[in-house]
Amino acid sequence: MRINGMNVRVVETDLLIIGTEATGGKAALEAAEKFPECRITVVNKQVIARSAVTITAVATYNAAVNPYDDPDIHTVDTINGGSHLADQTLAKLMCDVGAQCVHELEAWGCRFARQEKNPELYDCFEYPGHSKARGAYTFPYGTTGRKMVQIMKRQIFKQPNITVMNDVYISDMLMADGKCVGAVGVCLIETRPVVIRAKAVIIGAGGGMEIFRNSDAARDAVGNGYGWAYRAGGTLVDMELCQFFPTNVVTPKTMYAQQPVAVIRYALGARLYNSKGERFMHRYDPVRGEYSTRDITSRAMWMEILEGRGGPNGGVYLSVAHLPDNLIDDWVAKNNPGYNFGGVKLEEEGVDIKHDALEVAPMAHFYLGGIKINGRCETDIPGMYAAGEVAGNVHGANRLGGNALTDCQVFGKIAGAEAAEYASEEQGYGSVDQDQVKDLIEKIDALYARENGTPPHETRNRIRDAMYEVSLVKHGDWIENAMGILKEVRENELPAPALVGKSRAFSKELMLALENEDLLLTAELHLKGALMREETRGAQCRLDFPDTDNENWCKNIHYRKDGDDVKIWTEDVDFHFYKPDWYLEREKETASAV
Amino acid sequence: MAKRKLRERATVKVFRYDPSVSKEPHFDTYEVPYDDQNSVLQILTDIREQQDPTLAVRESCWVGCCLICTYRVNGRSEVTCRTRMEKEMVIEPLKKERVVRDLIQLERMDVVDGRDEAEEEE
Repeated sequence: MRINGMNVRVVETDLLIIGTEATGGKAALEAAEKFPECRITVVNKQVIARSAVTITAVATYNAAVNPYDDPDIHTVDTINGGSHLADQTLAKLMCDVGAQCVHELEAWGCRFARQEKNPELYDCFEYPGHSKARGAYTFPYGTTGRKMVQIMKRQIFKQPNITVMNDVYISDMLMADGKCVGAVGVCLIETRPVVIRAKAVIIGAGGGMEIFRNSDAARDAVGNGYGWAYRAGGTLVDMELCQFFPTNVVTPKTMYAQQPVAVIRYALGARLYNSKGERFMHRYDPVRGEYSTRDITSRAMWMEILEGRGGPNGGVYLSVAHLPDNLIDDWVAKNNPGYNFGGVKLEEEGVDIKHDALEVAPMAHFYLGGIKINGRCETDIPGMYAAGEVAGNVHGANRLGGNALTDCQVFGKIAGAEAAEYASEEQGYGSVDQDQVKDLIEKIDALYARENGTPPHETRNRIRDAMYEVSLVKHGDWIENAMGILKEVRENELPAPALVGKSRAFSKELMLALENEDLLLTAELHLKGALMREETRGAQCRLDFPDTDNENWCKNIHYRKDGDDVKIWTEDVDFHFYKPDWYLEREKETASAV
Repeated sequence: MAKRKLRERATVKVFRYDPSVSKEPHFDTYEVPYDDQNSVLQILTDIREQQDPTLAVRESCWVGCCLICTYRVNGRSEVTCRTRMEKEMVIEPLKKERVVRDLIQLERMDVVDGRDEAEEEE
């Protein structure tokens, strides 16, 4: 197809899946199994099984895999862990189907660790917030995400009907008559526009943690999926909520953002100290102390850092040095032989946990908000499905450890089956809106033609630095300040990025420039919602509203594009499955008042 | 950041290739501050952001999991986000015949010519 004199590559497929890892990969495999006739194309802006976030999921896959557990208990834990904001339909689905997806992974050859004395049972970690040990993992600890994506990749390449496209950057959904009929993007290798026509599209594109400078996620998580759905007219939910993982290593740089070693916090009862040598956690969580949930631990650490009691690299100290050396040695020999924590060999890094503390800081870890879906992974837009991290409000205001892989696998599975069924019922392809393709071509041409403008990496750093100041603990004034900076970026920098290099062979600059649009949008929506939610709950922490306000704020914030503006409204949480104590009490009061 | 004396300099020779300009690759040399705590990928990023934005580098997870930033550093195959810098470095792609730009090499299938390179890795 030629548009504006450009040779545009056109791909036709039944089901387009954007994202190839825990969510997208699972969706593709499920669709291929349920609908063997369905032609499936999965797209990654980098490389399958060599990028994105799943592969860094070091911890566990949490599900009621053992007979002592029950999906309903898992659901209640998940809802309580998320401070009651979760969509209970989605949370329950995740917990109900979670174990089944473990068995499917095992059938593909993924070996989850079993108990030594009782091999019928899975060997499970008990994570904070979970009332049972349900964290299944692959041995050695710290490899679960990597093993999963490698095994799924092998399965994907065995399926003749699944085509994998690497290095294709999707910039928008292709729309026709209010329906999603594919996607437009760029083949990065030669900067050639691509139109993918499809009967159904699944977005499995991950979160937007990259909006913060302090992020532990892969650089790919720029919020692309939110941008696509938002511009297409879909609804987003709870975009103000982004979880921070508390104990990421900050120094040395070759261990920056490492998490596997943080297992010592749960497994060995590591202690957190501020720079004055005080164990501060009991001031924030008198009962659980260092065993507190991620949201409270992160917030406590950030407060210590904000108030000047942090270390020289912007963190606090995590230490097991209070334990006898041989105890640590014995534990390590059993669980992480050779002091090898998920591939990080502490000795090589010159780190001695027997005597020294690790300097650790909270970093953006998981996006809780996202595209609004129902239990069939449908969005507001016919033909468009979303699943995994890019979908919002499965967990509420905080995610329990180990629930991310479960989320991705379960909703990947559901989306795969549902979207493939939808595609099988669609007669033909929707028409290609040539203007959409023209807009993209003109945008790219303008990037190359412009001589004086801001280099894309500067824009990105400006956004990320501004967001760092309001990353974990927020104040209304700080949010307004950051919004001011973002407004400047939107008005002055975003319309006029310029590439230094004019070559169209794989331009890293071009990719950054295109990504900045979705990154900025994600950051703006995050701040708008954070300013509106006048309370502190889970991942949302407002110094000017320090209390959880169940009366007014047990609500989800919804976002939808409205011309150049954004329409924001709230909806009450539907407590149809589990009612927390405060809710029951309120019900009683209302009843007696009547 | 803890202040360390960074008076020492390091030289980094980086493999460059741009098929739209020349079929022949070449090396560009950059001078950067030497910091024995710093990673090779961070140095490549600093070069891109401070000296030469045209440098194309693959990066993703930055925590040693995805391995997409594996390059040849002084002849050794290294996961560069997890590798400390040296005073003199030559950085090259792993498979030069697959390079499409600088340090970016083609991995398996893609849309350029739809060629199938789906051989099993590992």
